[in-house]
Formats: sequence, C-alpha cells, structure tokens
Amino acid sequence: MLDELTDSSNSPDAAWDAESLIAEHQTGVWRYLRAIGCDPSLADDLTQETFVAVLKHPFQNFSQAATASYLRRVAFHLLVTLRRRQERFAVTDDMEMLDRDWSRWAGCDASGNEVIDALADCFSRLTKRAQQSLKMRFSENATREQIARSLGITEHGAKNLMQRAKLQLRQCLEEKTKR
Amino acid sequence: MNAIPPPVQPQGPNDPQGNDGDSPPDPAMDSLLREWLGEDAPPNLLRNLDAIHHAAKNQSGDTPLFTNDELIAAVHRAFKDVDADRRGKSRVGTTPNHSANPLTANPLTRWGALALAASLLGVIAVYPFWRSREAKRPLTTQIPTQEFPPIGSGSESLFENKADVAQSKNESTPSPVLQAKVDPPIAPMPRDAVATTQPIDKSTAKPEPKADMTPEVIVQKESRPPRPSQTDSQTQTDSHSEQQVVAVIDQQLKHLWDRLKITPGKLTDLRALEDRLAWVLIGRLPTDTEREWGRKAGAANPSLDAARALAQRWIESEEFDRHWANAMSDYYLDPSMPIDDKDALKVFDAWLQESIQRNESLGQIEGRLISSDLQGNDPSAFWLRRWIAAGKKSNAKLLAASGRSPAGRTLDQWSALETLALQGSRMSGVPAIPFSEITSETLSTETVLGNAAAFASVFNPAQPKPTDKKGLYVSDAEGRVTLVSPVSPDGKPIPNSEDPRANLAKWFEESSLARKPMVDFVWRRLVGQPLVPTIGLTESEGFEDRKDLLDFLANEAQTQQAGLRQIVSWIVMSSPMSFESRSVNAQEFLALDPSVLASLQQRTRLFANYPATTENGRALDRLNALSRWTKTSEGNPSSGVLAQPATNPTGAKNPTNIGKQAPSSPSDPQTALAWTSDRITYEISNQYPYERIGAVSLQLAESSLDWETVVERAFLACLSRYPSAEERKQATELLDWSQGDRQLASKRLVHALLGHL
Repeated sequence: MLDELTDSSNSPDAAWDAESLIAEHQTGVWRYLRAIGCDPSLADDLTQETFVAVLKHPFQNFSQAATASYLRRVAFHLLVTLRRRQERFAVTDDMEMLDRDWSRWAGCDASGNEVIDALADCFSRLTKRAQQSLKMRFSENATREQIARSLGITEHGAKNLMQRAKLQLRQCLEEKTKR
Repeated sequence: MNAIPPPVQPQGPNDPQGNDGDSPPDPAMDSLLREWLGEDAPPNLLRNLDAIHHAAKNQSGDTPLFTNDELIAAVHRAFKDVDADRRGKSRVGTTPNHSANPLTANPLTRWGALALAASLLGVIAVYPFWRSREAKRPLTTQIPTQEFPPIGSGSESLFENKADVAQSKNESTPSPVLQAKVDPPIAPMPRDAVATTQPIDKSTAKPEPKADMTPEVIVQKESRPPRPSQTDSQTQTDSHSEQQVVAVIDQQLKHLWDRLKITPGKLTDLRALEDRLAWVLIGRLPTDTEREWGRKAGAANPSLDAARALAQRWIESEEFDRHWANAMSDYYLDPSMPIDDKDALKVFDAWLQESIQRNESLGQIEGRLISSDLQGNDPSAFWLRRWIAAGKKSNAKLLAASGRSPAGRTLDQWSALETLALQGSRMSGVPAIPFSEITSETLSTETVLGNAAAFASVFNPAQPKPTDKKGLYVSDAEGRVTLVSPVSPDGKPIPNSEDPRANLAKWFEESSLARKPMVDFVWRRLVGQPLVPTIGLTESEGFEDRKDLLDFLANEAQTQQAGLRQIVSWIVMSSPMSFESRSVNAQEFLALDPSVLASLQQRTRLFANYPATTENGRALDRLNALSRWTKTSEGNPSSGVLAQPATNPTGAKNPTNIGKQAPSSPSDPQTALAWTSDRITYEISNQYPYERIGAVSLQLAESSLDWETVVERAFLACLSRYPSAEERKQATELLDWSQGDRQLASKRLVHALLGHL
C-alpha cells in the first residue's frame, strides 16, 4: 500500500506540494506522536523527521485520509527506531494500542482538531471539582498534594477524582468520535 | 490551535505526559488535556521549510552506510582495542578459553554505574598511573632490579627471588624450576598452616599428595623474616575472618546494586581476570606458565578457582612487595614533585618494601613514620624533610609533621592537619572538625586558632623563636608563641605527655580512623574508583553503603592489625574483582541519565586515556578523539570507526561493508575524520540534547540547590567540567535576566551549554 501511495512515477500530474502537505498535516502528526507517548520536544523533532523522510521521495497525495495514515505510519516507525536505538523498553505493543486509539478518534481528520473539539465538549460535562482538578494538574502543573489541599480532600481522593474524570472523558470521546 | 506555540514545558524524565502519579498511564488522554488545558502546542514547521527540503534532498537516494547498531559495535570494538593495547597485546589470537572458565558458572553479575567503574579495574586504572610514576622518577632512583626476580620470566616468576631458587638448588632436592616445568606444583592456600609451618622433607621418597604439591618457594622462606599472619594459630583465625570480611564486602555491594537497581551483566572470562589480577597485584601480565599453574591449582582445589589461586600466590610473592611498596611510596610521597634526595628515596622505598614483607600493620608503618629518628637517611626523616621543604600546605601527608616541628613551621603543619581532617571527612563521611574551628578547650594551652595574623606572628622575626624541636607551636592574640599538644583528626585531643610526636604516633597506630585513607587508597587502586566517592555524587550513588563499607574495612584493618597484604587480599577475593571488564561505548555514554553523567565520567575515566583527548572535554570532541585513535587500531583498518569506507560501491548486496573493505582513504585521516565527525554529530544531536534538555533543566531547577550549585551541576552534566569564574558570573546574570524564574533560567542555561554539540 505504501508503494502505491508514494510511487508517483506513473502519474506526473499528481504533483505534490510540500508546503501544503506540512501545513495540513503537521498538527495531526504531532498530536499522534504525543498520543503514542512522545514528550513535546521529541514530538517536535519526530514530526520534522517524518516530513523529511516522506519528502525524500516523490509523493502522491491520493487523499487526505490516506496521506494522514501514511504519515502516521512513518512517524510510528521513526519512533520505534529511535526507541530501539536507545535500547529502551519494548513499547511496540503499547504503541500499537495507542495508535489504534488515535486512529479511531481522529479517523479521516488529518489535523485532529475534531478530537480537540470533542474533548472540549466532554470536559464541560464533568463536575466542577473534576474540571478544577484536571485544570490544576494539566494547566498549572500542580502536584496531587496541592490539588487535594485546594479541593479539601485527601491525596488519594484527588488521585481517584482525576482518574475517574479521565475515564469519563475517554468514554465520552469514544462516543463522540464513533463513526 | 495553530497559534504561535508557547515555550514547551519541560517534562520530568519519568513523566513525559504529566501523568498523575499512580493512575494508569494514558498518554493519549494526557497529551490531549495538556494541549487543551496546558501550554503544549504543535510546532510550526513551515518556518523550517527550507531546512526540511534541504535535509530531504541531501538524504534522498542515500542508503545509510552504517546502521546505528553497526556503529555501536564499531565503537565497542575500538574500546576493546584500547584494552588490548594497554595490555600490550593484540586481541588477535587471544581468544579466551571460555570452556575452561569456572567463573562462567556463577550467574552473579552486575551492570551499571558501579560496574562500569569497576570495569576498568587494573588495566586502565593502574597502568597509566604506574607508568607516569616511573616516567617522573629518574631511573637511578628506582630500586635496583637485580635485587628482584626478572619480570615475566616464565615459571621463575612464581618464585620469590633468585636467591631462593639458588638456595633450593643447593639442597638435595629436585630443582623447583625443573619441577615446575615438568609438572607445576599445586600450591595450597597461602595461609595453609601445614604448608607454611611444616616444610616437607623432599629428600624422602613418595610424598603425600597434598605435600607433594607444596611449592618450594614457601618452604624456602627461612631466609626472610617470618610473616605474622603465617603462624599456626593465627592462620585459622585470619582465614576465617578473611572469608567473613569478603562476605561482608560482597553482601554490602550486592545490597548497593540492588538498591540502585543495577541490572545484571556477566562475569569476566578467566584470562581477563588473570590479567587484571596480575596487573593490580604485581604490575605485569601473567606468564603462560603461571596461567597453567593457576588452572591446575583451580582444578585441584574446587573451593579456589584458578585466578584466585594465582592471586594468592602473587600476594605472597616478593613482586607484590615491590609493586606495592612503589604504590605506597606514591601515596606517601607525591610523585609529581621533583625528588632531590635520590638515595633517601631508595631507602624509603626499600623500607616500605621491607615493612610490607614483614606484614607490618598499616598502623605500625605510619606510626613509625611519625616517631622514628630524624637523623640521616631514616625513611621518616626523608619523608618529613620532603614535605616541609616543599612547603606544601595542602598535602595531607604533613599530618605527621605536626608531631615534631623541627623548624617551628606551625602554620604549614596546622594547615596540613586541617586539610587532612577535611579530606578524611569527605572520604569517610565522618564529620571531621576543621582545625580552624577547634576551640582552645581542646588544646592544653590558651591559644587562638584560625587567626591568620596570630599564625603569621610565628614567622615574624620580632617574635621569639620556638626552641623545642618536638613541640607544636601556635601564638596567642598577644603574639606569645606557645607549645601545644597536637589534636587528632577526629577532633579528640591526644593525651598529654612530654612527647607530642609519640602521642600522635600512638594515635595513628590505634585509631581506625587513621586507617581509612589507606584502605580507600588500596580500594581505589584495585577497583579503579574510590570506595567513597568524594565529588559530584549523591546518596543515590550509594554513598551510605560505601561509607559503611569503608568504616567496616578500616575497623577490621585496625582490629586485626592487618597489613597491606591482608587488606589487598580481602578486596581481591571479593566479587567486584570478577566482573567483566567493560567500557561504556559512545551511545551508552550519551544515553546515560544526566544526573550521573558527570560522576560516571570521572569514575570510569571514559575517554580519559586516549592520546588525542581534547582539552575542553566535550563529548563530541572526545568522540572525535576516539575516532582518530581507532583509525589504526589492531592493525586492522576495518575495526575502527574512522576507517570505515566513505563510499558504498557494492550497492545493495552489502550496503554496510563492515569489516569487508579497506578504507577508501587510509592515508588521508582528515577526510575520514570529517565524515566521522558529521556522523557522530548526527548521532549525538539526534539523541542527546533534544530528548534530555527538558529533563536535565527541570531536575536542576526543581532541586533545592542554590543557583550556584545548579550552575555547577549543569556544567558537569553537559560539559563535564566546572564553570569558570566568568561563566559563573554569566550564569548568575542569566537568572536575573530570566527574572528569577529558575526553571526558565535553567532551561536556557542547559540549552546554551548543549548548543555546541
């Protein structure tokens, strides 16, 4: 399949434009890499590496969905290669699962903006306390102790609260992105 | 969502997604939340469009010449070459006989920081040190070689000296040399009571199996002073306690490795272990005869493997005495200083050798150094004169000088005492009291210490000169010079008597604290790193365990009145000596946790022994230095990184050609170097900075360290060196420039430091 997507020798008319390719897909690739376990700086680097790898050869843009899928595979392999090179833990199984999650959520959406929109909607359905705990955790980088103190609960309670909130978000997201 | 991305928040090394602790990791959800609620944002690669195009164009159609694994293997081979070279032999044709190695049956192995440090045991750690010492001393100052057996002289090396051999030839017994050649005798344990105290009458016919294997060299020791540890009653005690001590060392280190989660590796092979033991014990490689002898000894005694049987023999040999006398001489006399009195040095070395030979305890040796006569070529007098003449305030060996004060130079002496106390504190973890803080209550007279002006008055011509040569002088606030008693480094006053020097000598003989520096020295010499690291390490490096171990060994040394031979034996028989000699390759080096990078570098001396190591110590420069060095390694051009072909003429069939092709331009190292440098730069930049900048800076910023220490750690982690005064100043300004935001300043600092890579 990859050969079909990348071999443009038989269709010279289907010229590709690197600038528009990057503009359309960079956010989606970056979000995908984040979703499968990269930290932000590594995701930055691998996003760039993904486009470098893709642009080394002639590339034909059959459809946005196919291109997004292809770019995700390239990014996936780059990450696996990097981890193997670093002799890190075997992450392939986890990554495959995360890869499936993201593909299910994002679907044909190349940028993943729909996922973010769905997340915003789901977040508004959480209780105020759950929202506050997640905001403190992810926006202010508060520790669990600080969150617990702010909400007047124990640390264990704060942990459970955030865990349940994220589970609800995930279920809501699954529902909203079901196609 | 595509707004200008805010600065990326650095993440913790184990928490890349900001996952909330113990909850199941959910990177997909966490990343979405962090992006939506937090400050993460996708990059805008359109700004790098040209760079992406350029990179894509340059890489197009290129099959990488070498995979990363191949590069790692090449660097690894280069390190092996270094080991081989330092052993003075090529790796070619020296494949160890694994099947004959009894050690491989033992699965206890280790891996990690400590293992890496211990990996360079003897060969790299001792050899350059020894060689530099030899080089610095004029040949005429070394102990005459005719007094000792020739180095590496086959089976004769097993014997104490030629006089012993000659004496044995005069007996009506078979020649030990010939006997060794025909069927090398299997030695019993060196402290075997039967072997050492009941010489076998070899003129009688059929010997008992065990007795027949008694090496003649032990029987022939009548001409030498008896060693205290070889008496009948003590042999049993020593043997038992030695096993206990070794067991404690093993247990303590295993505990340390478990706690630090050091993952297992493997034991070294027998040949390498023999080499290592020979280097550290007698300063040379074993002969083939010795190896053979060791294997037979190991086969005959299942409780003693071949290498350890050999080690026991070497420890009992005269070569050991000579080798370690030189080592101890280096310990007591700084070899970097010029030596004027060569005759006195010879006497000093010979005296040390004799002391080791007699198995004197370390306390006895150091006590004698302090208390012996000041006249003539007495070793102690030479030692004292050397340090006082050098006027080295910072050298700890002046400690003993405080007990005698022949010239009334109390300032030097106090300074040296203080230095030793502080050094002892760092080394042992025992809180020593700086002498400048010792109150007058600890002294027998009312004196003012720590007052430079008062000390200086000692040297003021207007002040009265001290006349008593055995006293220690300080002056009070009014400039009166007073005789005081010296204080031991643990802060306790030495009991008053008429002779402070004798008191200090007594303290040296009786205090286990005084044993610690030498125990640590022996450990460092054998294992290649200090038992208790003194720099750049934290508790996570096992400081407490190591401190306990040092305390234990020092106490044992004092309680058992152990000599050098015994302390060496404890360490040599323990597990750290048996682990694989392993060097960190470039990839592993760069992938290390930054928090241990600097200390690991210091302890493993990675790259430190390469001839082309550059002065600024950066990783890239070291790799370049490494690649330069490996160009001609082993005479096989394909074994070095640099010597790999720069082109790929054979195409897809063998895209890498590792080991298959001669270098394309062996006569032009610069061309090859350029390629290697680029490649290595790519490897480094691809892995090290981008992935670790966030972790390093966050770790530093979130620590409770003051900013100056943060700067110091950042320099150590990134550039493997301390910052200069100007750099410290700039780093302080960086914090101000970041409006006091430590995280931001730390990130900028680490970025700046790694930006050179």
